[in-house]
Amino acid sequence: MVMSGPRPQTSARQRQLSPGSRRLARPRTWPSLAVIAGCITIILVCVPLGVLLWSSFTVSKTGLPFGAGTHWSLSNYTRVFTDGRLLRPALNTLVFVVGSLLIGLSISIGIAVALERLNLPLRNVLFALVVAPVAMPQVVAGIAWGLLLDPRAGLLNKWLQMLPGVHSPGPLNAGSLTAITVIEGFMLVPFSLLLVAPVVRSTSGALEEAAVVTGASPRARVTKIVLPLMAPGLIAVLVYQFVTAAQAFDIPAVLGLEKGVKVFSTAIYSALNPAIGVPDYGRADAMSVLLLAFALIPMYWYYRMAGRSERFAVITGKSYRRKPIDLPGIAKWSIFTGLVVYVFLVIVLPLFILLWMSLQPFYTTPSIAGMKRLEFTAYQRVFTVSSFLSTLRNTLVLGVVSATVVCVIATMNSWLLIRRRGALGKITDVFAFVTHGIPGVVLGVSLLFASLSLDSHVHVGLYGSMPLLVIGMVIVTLGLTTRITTAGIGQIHKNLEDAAEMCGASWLARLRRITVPLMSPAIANAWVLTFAYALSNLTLTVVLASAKNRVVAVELYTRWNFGDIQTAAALGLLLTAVSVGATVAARRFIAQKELRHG
Amino acid sequence: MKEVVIAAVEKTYAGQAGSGAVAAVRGVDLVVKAGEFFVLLGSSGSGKTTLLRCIAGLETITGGEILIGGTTVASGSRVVPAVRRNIGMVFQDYAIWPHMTVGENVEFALRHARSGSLRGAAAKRRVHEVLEVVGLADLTGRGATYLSGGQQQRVALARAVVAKPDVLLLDEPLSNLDARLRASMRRELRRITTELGVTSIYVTHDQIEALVMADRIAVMRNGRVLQVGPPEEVYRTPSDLFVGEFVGEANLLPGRTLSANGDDAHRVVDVRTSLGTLRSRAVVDVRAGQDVKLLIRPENLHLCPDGAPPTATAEVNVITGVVTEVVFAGAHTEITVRAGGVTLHLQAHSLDAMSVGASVTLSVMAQWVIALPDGGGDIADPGGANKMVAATGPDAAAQEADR
Repeated sequence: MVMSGPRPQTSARQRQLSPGSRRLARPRTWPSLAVIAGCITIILVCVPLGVLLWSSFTVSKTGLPFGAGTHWSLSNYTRVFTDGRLLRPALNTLVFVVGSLLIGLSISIGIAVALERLNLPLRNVLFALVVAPVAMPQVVAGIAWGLLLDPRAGLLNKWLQMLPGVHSPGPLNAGSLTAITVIEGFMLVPFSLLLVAPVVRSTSGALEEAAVVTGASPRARVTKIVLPLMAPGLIAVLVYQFVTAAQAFDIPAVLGLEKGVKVFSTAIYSALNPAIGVPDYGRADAMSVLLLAFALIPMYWYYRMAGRSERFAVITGKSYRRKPIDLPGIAKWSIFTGLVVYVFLVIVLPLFILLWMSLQPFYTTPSIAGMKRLEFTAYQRVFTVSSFLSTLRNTLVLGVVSATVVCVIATMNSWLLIRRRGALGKITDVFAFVTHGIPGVVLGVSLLFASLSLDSHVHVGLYGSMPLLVIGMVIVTLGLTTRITTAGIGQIHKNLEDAAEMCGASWLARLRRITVPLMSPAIANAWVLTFAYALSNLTLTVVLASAKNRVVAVELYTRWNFGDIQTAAALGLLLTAVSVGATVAARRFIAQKELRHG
Repeated sequence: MKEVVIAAVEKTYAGQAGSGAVAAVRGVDLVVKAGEFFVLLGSSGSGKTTLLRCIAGLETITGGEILIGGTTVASGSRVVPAVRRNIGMVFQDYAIWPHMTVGENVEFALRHARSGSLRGAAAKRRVHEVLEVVGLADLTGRGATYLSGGQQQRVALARAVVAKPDVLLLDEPLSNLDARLRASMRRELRRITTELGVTSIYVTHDQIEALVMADRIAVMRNGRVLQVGPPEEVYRTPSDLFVGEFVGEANLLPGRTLSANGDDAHRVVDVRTSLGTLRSRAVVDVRAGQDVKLLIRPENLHLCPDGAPPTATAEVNVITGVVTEVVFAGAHTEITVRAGGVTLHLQAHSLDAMSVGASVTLSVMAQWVIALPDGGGDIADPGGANKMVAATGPDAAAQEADR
């Protein structure tokens, strides 16, 4: 049997043909490697979440999940719902999610329309600049904003204080819910723009022109043609980013936690790592289950939509860029200025303040006087102190290993889905997809509990180890990478693999020599995304942190909380440079490959 | 060079949710002789590509048996995977690997060959040798995507034959080429396969291609083989109405037999039609009083000169009618004649003057009037029309997937 075409069931009839005959030279029905990967995917999702859910209904004498004297109980939930400490984070989360989505999506739609439809100068440069922060770790951005919006010494506040009637401290406060919400909104922009731009571009094409030809009024064109066509694409982006905002951790953790402003995800973290007292595992557990439900429900909706939206295939189709709208000079230049200001505020200023702080021995607002104090001690420290070096090494190992493992699993999953087309492929795809809806902090808690109980019952040294971090990173990135590799395999003609099969090449040889080289752009894309993600991830690394598996993101966060701003800034810039460098290299590789394969 | 035996082969696709199972190939029996160039001819959905993929091992048969050189490669109990069948295959869209050069494409097949992997200098020599045969030796180092359609086709052929396969399968290899190139590639392909002496099975929906290239043709419809034979036989004496219409142009006259065709020696049948009684030949059994259709190829209808109207004899039928259309087509003129309520098409020399409305007399030899049972295929296959629509599914889907 071979791996092609709709697979027939082994019918009763077929068995009748050869009663009792030995199944001679029966080849493997499907390559076991892919099946193993599919099973791993299912296990990776089910086991940690199963442990989380199960342990949330138990309590133990020690307070540890599955500790001594574990028994069934609803007390975790009753405690969370009745002790009055749930309402505040819940309301904060609501404001945070709705606010950041409003800000993030309206900015991205505005920029998308401006760059796709208006005759602005430097459109491609502006697009690249707005999208670039995709590769900037959010923990680093959070620190930069913390420095910029410091009520007393923050650069932006200093500038605003020059206005009459504005006095120190303020008016902006990095630790306020408003600031956290607005900054998270900025964080959502780059990826949203990547998702929204094709929607805007394709709907501005032929169909709209057809409406013009039929004599529809401009208003009818927008309400009858453009909006209905864009709606599925925009709703998909909205739901996807809702899940992102609901599980956002870095910005609220860096800016809000110290000031006592908690959203759901940081509230779970502080239950595990309280400023005073012992960890409250039961609370973290029950709250994680609630957050999981909050994030997964829209994911279900999104999955249904993503399947149905093929009806609106035009939104993904390629389309030529329509002649841009020619705005009068004043409007054009004011929009252009607005974009430049945005880029300055959200990209240039944060990077500048990090650079400044990394070169200053203590916290000072940038000034000419400060120029005399420039020093490179922070960078020297990073590259000479051995604990820093091991942190750097851990970070790179985490990035490389997670990216490689997840690419192998994602490629196998996609192969199962696209080529083998069985039930296992579909189930695996659903599980891989679900991973995007698992909030990082929830996964962290799940893995923490799973590793704690494994350690205490089977004595596997997983708790606080690097492999545990890799497992976590693989799970959180599996959804996105599988989508990328699925699109990659989908673009390869099946005949190219069939031809290799007819040449006598085994399944592994076909995969190695034909399929993987042909989908290498997709794999490179998935690899570098995971690599950059693992480098910048704070959620999992901080929840699962120990002395053994310390990575740069955790180091940064700790330094920041201790007030060692110089080192934090230097590390932040270093991390950003590696992440951006890897992304740029991958882009070049992909562009080169795509050019060559036509 | 090996013989391929296909015995009662069936291929049924398990139905998707909401639709039943679909039979793409239903009990096909064929013997392809060693070294033969065998063509599977049929329209899309006839099951020809599915059958070819079953021989290749890219599809699993659900019934019957396939033997190559006397060895069972597919049956209910035994399946030799495609990689071990020693078959070369040329795909419709060439399936040239875009990330390899011409030489690498061909060498890949050599490296993984069943007949023993070849590497190094020996492999280089063999690759060169085969590229020489297909006329691409000077493009060995060229990237595969920088080739024209015809060149890609040659690379695909070289790759399929380089490891000296027992059988060569070709799936509509010329359908993506332009008309001029297609004509020259037909001859080229025949030359190369003859040179290599490989058993070839060639799938096409193009009847001209089948007639020009085949040693023997099997006409398929609806998952079944309707007729197998050399091109001349299939064209001149179709044994099935569908075959007659599908292979070449055909005039069809409905009628009813006056006599049965009896034994082999007396295959002559008189048929009453709206044009009067015509003498015809039957290659399959017909009874007296049976509804038949008479098939006449346009080139067998002759215009008789005005002055000397022929008389009908035992060998010659005579038809009179009125010209309704004259179309100049270069070398010949296509003439449409209305006679006895039916329309007949024929070809005349383009220098013959002919005008619409003129009365004409036509003659046709009795041996070129073929009597075929009307709707015979449908009796054997109740509800055939519906099933053909259904059977379009997997084959079309497979082709779609191939694209």
